[in-house]
Amino acid sequence: MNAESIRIRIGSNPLDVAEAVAFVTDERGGGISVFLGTTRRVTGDRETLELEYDAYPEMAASEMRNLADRALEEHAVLRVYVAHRLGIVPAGEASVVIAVSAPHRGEAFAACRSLIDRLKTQVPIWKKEIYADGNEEWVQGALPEVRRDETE
Amino acid sequence: MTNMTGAHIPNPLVIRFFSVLRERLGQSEILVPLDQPERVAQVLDRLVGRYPELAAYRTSMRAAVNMEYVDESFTVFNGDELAVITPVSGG
Repeated sequence: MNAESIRIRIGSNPLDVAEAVAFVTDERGGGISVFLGTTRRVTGDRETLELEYDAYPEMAASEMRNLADRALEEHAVLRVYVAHRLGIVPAGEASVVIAVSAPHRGEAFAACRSLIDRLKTQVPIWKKEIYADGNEEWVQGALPEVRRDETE
Repeated sequence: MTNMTGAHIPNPLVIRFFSVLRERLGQSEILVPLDQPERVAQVLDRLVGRYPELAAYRTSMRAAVNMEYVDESFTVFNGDELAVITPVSGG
């Protein structure tokens, strides 16, 4: 079981990057890769005031755990931390933190990259752009894939 | 659960909504007692028939039943939880 090598957090408090690094720190590790997804203030000619995140929280947590399990299986990594913030995230602040430790930096980078790429297509979390001009829109991203071996 | 005459009725299908669908519908959950097990495709078609404000999203819905993503050929039963997932945008 990978339970002790994985920590998943989802909630409305600001992210704790120090906790992420502390959790994945391991004396067998030669590198820790950390990714922060941050709220971009400017995209083209539009200015974002803040993002609002909604989630199917129970399933978001279980999908994040599934992704972490896969990362441990597919890469020679030691410990994985994934946290996503919900509710309002002002421009400039982070909405997601992923930290991975591994004996070698190549695997730490690869696993971290894979985790964020998959999180963005599989985890039931949605962001709403709240623009400085008062407009709002839910971002329609990627439709999650069905895992074939899970369905009848 | 039992109704007022004491007859046993099954727990219904629970349909959950988030983000844009929750906003359009104005509700995060509806209860649908099923007369018989039904395929997800039929449940979703009936849903947009009953709530036309959701129809524009029909072709970009993914169902998650009891927290697993499923194809629309999947069969749901009373007591299941069916979440209607639109394209995700976390991270």
